[in-house]
Amino acid sequence: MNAAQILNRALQLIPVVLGVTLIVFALMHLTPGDPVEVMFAGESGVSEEDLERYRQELGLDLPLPIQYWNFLAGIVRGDLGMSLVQRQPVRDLLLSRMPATIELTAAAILISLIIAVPAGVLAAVHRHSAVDQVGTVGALLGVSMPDFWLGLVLIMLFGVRWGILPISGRIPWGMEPETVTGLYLVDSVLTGNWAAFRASLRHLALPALTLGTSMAALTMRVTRSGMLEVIHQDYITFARAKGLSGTEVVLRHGLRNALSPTVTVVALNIGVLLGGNMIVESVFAWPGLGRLVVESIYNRDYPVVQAAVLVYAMTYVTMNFLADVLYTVLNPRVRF
Amino acid sequence: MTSSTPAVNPEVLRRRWTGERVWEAISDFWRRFRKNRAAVAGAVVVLAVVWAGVLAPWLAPHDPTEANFFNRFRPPAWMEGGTWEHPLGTDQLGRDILSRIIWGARASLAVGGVVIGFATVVGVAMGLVSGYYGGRLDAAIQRLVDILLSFPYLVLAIGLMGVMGPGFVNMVLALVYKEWVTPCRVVRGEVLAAKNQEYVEAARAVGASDAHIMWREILPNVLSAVVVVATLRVAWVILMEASLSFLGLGVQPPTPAWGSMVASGREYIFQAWWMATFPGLAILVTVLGINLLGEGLRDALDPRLRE
Repeated sequence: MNAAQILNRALQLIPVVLGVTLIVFALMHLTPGDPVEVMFAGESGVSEEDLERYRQELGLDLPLPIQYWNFLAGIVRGDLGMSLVQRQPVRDLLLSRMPATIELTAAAILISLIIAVPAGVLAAVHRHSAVDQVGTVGALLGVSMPDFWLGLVLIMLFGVRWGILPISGRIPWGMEPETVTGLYLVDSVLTGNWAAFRASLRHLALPALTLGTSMAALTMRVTRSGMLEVIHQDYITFARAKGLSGTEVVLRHGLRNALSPTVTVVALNIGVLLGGNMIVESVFAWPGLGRLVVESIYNRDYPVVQAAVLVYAMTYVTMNFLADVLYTVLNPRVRF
Repeated sequence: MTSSTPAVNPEVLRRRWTGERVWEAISDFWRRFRKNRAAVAGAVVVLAVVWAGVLAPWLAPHDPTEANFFNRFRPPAWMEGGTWEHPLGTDQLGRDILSRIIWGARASLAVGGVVIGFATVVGVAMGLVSGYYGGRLDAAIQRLVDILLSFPYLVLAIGLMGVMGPGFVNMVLALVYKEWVTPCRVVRGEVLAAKNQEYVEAARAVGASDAHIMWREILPNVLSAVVVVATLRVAWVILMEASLSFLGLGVQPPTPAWGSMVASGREYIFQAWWMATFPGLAILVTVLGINLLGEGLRDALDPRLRE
């Protein structure tokens, strides 16, 4: 895919992105009562005039199209409004939670690849064997298992029963490494703080395993079918005929070509994982974006919910786009 | 459409859905389906869950909402301190977990069934229209589909539930909102493929109306794809319902739902592992059963759909 095609594909995203902002905006206006009422709910001594003044300040008295325009302008400026509960800019709130979610997502993807790629390749190479059947059943179980339940089962086993891993949070209070990137694992390595590294790795284990397992199912299926397709190609048969061993053929010729669908799925999954994170972050009290959204829903902090939904959708759109681009780059035969 | 039109190829007439042909298709399907042991097992599980949900008042040994403070946190029957009075133990209010699981099947099945029912009707209609007419209407519908697909599933549902408030109707709305996209895309693809086939051209040649062609000629031929997709998506919707109920945004207490049972079990994870474990297993088994059934239906009805 050349630059012009990529650009063309990117331009196609514009109506989609606008549509997304429109839906997110509409979401906010479905709220029962307006944000100002929510903000001062239960506070005494606030007069109707005060409320009116706040409405004007926030622009809530303007006609809807103008409010939408202001909302778009705000997004472009990076202004996502104020949190009603925390009384600070939503953007800062989201940014402060971002590193935790990124760290968890990265770890989960790593785990899913460690499980799924070897399993998928083995299943394809030994098609219809016991290995393949175990893989198929495992993948089916993975798709059918609710991730919140898997998380709790892991907590019950590793946390409660054997007591070998922490079951909530990112790191014990007061042990946080000096902030460089906000990713505790990276920061603790950079500052040489090995105690913090160990602690955050241990905290990361269960949530990442939960997310990684539920993601591995799909990745494994895709790797398997990608590998199956490649295995029967002429060049593989040729390599075998040349006298290369089975493993060698698979590793040297098959894997590289078979993995392009896997790469695509991983890119897509990064987007999906952000959605799945809400559940898993809630289960493990992981202080990331997902947990922030759930907390904000409980607190009726609508601007935060709105902004987070927007961020999720934009990440998802971007990852879909990257997946498309990657797929065509890796498979030059595919054309839009 | 009159069958005596000379221009019509006899092969085309054979493709029409007569009573005899429907019967033939069903027995054909059944012959293939019952050979697939996994699919039959899935069907049995699904039937059992439906059975449990429908007959809950007669099957459940106890009232699912009846609290008994002298009987709190009773472990499952096979553990020390358990009784066969409460085979899977009791919760923090002394309610019988087995009875709550049996009743909880109702919430999952109701949400799964209603959401997929609505979504299928809307999605099939949109997909037929979109694929059949093409042009601007198609472009508009497909843009909408693209936009809805830009939201991770749970994010949109959680956002909507957060704004609209919890409850059955809101949950159905929040899930249908995006779910119709799946049947829509499937049907549209099938319609595009069917549109230029002989039987459609023949119907058009003899002057059949668009509505007739869509509903009577094309729809019966894409129905098997719709059934397969709807079945597989029920599994997904049940998982979503459980997730929303787990977060406290779905089915509200005291109505038993598997997701919210797991959520309350989470609070007592140190003292009563069974509270979270068994409802979660119920979700797992149900969803697994539906997936097996759906994949079996796919293989027996329409092997092309296999990924």
